[in-house]
Amino acid sequence: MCNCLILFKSLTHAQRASKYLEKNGISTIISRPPMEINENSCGYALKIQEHFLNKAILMLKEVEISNFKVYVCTTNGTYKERIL
Amino acid sequence: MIYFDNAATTLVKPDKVYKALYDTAKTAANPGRGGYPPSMKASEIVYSCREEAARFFNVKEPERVIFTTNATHALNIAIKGAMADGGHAVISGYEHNSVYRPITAMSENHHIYYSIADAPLFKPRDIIQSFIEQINENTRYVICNHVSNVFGYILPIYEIDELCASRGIGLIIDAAQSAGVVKLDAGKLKACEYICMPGHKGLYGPQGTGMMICTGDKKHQTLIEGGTGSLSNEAKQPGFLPDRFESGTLNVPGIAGLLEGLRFVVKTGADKIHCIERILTKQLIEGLYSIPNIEVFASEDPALQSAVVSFRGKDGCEEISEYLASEGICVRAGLHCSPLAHKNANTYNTGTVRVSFSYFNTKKEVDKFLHILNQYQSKKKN
Repeated sequence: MCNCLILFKSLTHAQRASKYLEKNGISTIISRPPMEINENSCGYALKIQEHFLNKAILMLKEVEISNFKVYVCTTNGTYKERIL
Repeated sequence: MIYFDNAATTLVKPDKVYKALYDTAKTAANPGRGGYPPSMKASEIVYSCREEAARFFNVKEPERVIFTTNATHALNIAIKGAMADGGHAVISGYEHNSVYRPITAMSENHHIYYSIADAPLFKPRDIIQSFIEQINENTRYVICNHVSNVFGYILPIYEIDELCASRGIGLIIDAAQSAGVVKLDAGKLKACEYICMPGHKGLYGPQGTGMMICTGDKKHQTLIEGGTGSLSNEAKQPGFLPDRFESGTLNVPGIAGLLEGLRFVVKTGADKIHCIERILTKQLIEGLYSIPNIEVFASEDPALQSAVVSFRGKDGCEEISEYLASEGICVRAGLHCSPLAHKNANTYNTGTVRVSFSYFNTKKEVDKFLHILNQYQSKKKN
């Protein structure tokens, strides 16, 4: 189950991050995020399982991909930003 | 038909290019405009092409690859952005009108001025010296093509880059005739900020495709602004690449074709393509020298000569080209949109006939061309 979102302003940046994580064994799905977290900005998000999240964040930062925000799904179905 | 006008566009493409164009036009929607399958498919194609191009030119980040409609479009973005704050630019004496006209227009309308680094054909030391002489304390950019579209002259681009780096000047490269044929390694360039190229020549993509590779990090002014599918709530154009320079719907079928063209070049090997074209070029040059009353503008040094060769006869260039066309041979005659190059080579008043090869040309075709040209010259003599 994918229960976290890594949000990017640009689709190209989301694609680059997704390809890099896939190459290193972490599956993600590129999707449109809910409006509540997207700030009306038409970004794209990577859906990712929570137990891969910390590893994924570290891996992305290692290759200087850092222009993203992270949201975790709460028990009531809404998303909460995780401050990095 | 024998097609020898590959410097204008490669007419014969790998079959996969045509198939990609058709399939994509039927199945791919607008990239970055939705999360539904046809939009995501388009996004995948576009990103794959960015990745392939970034790898080919040795650029780390695929987002530095900007899609344009052709090399002229890319050069206009680069030149008008980089020179927007004014100052002085130096262009080589072998520039195409895709550089000469934008910089001239800017000099008429803005607070910029420019100089031309003239030098004789196939004299790389002389052109470096000319750049050194033209650069002054206000020079901000050098704009230079990698290969002359008229004479196939390979300019010493790494040395020019080195010179720019030593003077703290930016470099914009027009790779219209070199991309896919003459190796250009962005990772080795120090001063270069933009590399501009078409997709439809040596990269075997369809017409209507081009690329600008942003090797620098400056946030230059944009040529156009508009919808990017990102930061839609903001009135200001996004600052990040590629969105900063890519407004409006991309030519996704064209980019799909370009991706297949790039894959063809990678699979075949740019070195192999260059080698095959080099064999044809050598055959052509030797054959031309043996035909009476033909003046050839070529270098026997393969480091200086690409697969674009110009010549002229006693007859007008257009007459020669018309005769060749009547015999089923396609070449280009005239100034080839490059008056500066002709002034440097003293061919401005006559123009030249230009022959340019691709990977798909053959020795047999060159033989036939030489035979027909020889026939024409003999008839004229009598």
